[in-house]
Amino acid sequence: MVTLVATEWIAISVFLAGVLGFGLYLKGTITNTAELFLAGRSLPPWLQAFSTVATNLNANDFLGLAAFAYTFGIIVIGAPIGNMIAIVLATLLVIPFIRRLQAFSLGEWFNDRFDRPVGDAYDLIWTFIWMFVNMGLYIYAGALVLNTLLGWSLWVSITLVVVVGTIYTLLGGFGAVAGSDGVQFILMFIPLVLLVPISLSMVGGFSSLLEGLNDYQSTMVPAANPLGADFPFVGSTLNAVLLYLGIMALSASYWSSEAQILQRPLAARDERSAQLGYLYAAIWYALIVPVVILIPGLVAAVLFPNLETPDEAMPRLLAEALPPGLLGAAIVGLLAAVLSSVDSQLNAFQTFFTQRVYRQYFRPSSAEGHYVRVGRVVGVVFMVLTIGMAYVFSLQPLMFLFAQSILATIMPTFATLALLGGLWDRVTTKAALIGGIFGLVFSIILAFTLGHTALYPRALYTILATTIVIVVSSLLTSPNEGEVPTGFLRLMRENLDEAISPQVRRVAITVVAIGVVMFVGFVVLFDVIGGA
Amino acid sequence: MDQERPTQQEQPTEQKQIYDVVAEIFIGSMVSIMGLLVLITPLTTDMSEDSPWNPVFIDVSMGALYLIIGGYVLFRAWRRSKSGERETEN
Repeated sequence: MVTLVATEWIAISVFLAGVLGFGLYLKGTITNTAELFLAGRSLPPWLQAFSTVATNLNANDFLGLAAFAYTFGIIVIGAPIGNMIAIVLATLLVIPFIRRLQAFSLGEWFNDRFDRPVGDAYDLIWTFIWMFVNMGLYIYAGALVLNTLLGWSLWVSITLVVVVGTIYTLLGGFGAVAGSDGVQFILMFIPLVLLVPISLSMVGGFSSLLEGLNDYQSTMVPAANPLGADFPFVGSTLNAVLLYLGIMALSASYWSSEAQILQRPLAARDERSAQLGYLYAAIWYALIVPVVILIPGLVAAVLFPNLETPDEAMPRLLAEALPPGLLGAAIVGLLAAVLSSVDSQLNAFQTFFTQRVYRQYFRPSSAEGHYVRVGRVVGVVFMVLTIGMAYVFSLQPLMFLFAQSILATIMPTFATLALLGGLWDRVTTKAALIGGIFGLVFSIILAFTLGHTALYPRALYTILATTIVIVVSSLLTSPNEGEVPTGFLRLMRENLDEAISPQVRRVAITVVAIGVVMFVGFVVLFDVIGGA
Repeated sequence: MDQERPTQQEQPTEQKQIYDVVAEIFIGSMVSIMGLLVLITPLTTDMSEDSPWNPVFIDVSMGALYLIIGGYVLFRAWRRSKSGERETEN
């Protein structure tokens, strides 16, 4: 716990008053569902990218990924690099089609590309399972930050996160989400960049960092990392290769099918803007995350080796490294990060429940104002219910592992459907249904037999097995009447510029090049120079 | 699938710009205020001398950086609202 100075308390108070005022202002501009849920589909690429990154920068990246590096070492770099590759894939194979359809969710596109049951299954599973889990993670992660840095009890912290997050999001809708995302990104980015040299000097330099780490923590190609224990070839480099493939499988699952992340490109102005916004977020993962999140996570492993909860690694390091004043700005950035994740998930739940469940099954043709009101009421109910899920997270030793494990059970199946459906016109509705049911059952069996730590083998095996089932089933079945294939491969052959605009292509190639250079750079740094 | 689905939720361009401008004003104001508070902290607080790096230098330089970024975002919002006004007049 740290003692805050007067200017830091002022900063926190100004921020809380500011977000509520901003939400209140936006409330007056909201008259229909697209404004509430997708900011009137008006986000420019830069704000979309900020918003995408900011949503992940709280629970997933800032706390979870740093804690993962703290626990498992530098091989965790596979996650941001895998994210970069996954974003490029989704940008080409999923984003243009869902944005072109003016959809509210991936499920709508599934229903268009295949037939109704496929998209409906996605929407229902997402609305009533994953969103509760994810919101529990976000609330707990936010509360943990306040608990670690300010010393407030976990329940006081949870209450604050829930109350402020709910009011802010219900008032301002997705416009408010994007606003807090922008504040968070800027306020957190500067302390994060500064944290790298300061924390490295605290640990005594890079060579001292390597000396302080375990053998498997300090190499990019560990023969035996606990994360790869459920892959074959333990003790050989091949095990690390399989682990990287598993990490990429989970990343592909997330970026091709996670509802609130896909909500960002859906809120973009147009198709090209949606693609560019997604790709800009990939630059963050390829270039920034390995340096500003993973290195501090490793430093924390050396400085505070016996933390009871590894998720506390990053807040603890911030408190030790930053001076009064800047620490206050970083705490405000963290509060914005907490809000950013909470409001994104709440907004996504409102969108799904109202547009894809209530509107579809209960009241298909009421006035727009009615849906806006329903969205606000279910938002409050959702937040109250997810407090219980936050408590479940508080019982887990590593919240990121638990959340990723549930993610690895649900997402790979739908990601396979999305990526194959976008890429290959031959995929039929019957094959999608067979593959979807198979994938979900298979991944649940794997979850029970292999356990949480085997999340990467589970994701990889599910994607591979589901792909085989879908391909074989597609070749054995005929298409339904209403299917709308994307024509992506045909268009690629006939008119590349129309399939992928030159600007999107240039940015995608740049992103991949940056990712490759970063990966090779880290291998050189940790295994060539560090191993010498 | 080649055509955008017509929908009642489509907004006119002018109305769409409101999110850009309002979001930028909010972001710019918040970042500027935080920058100012970071900048004045060394004047109002005893800064620890056993910090890893010079804390006054860090606060002054980072506070100034926040102010510059916040000011730039506010300038963008101002420019965008001006160009929006001109489009409306024309």
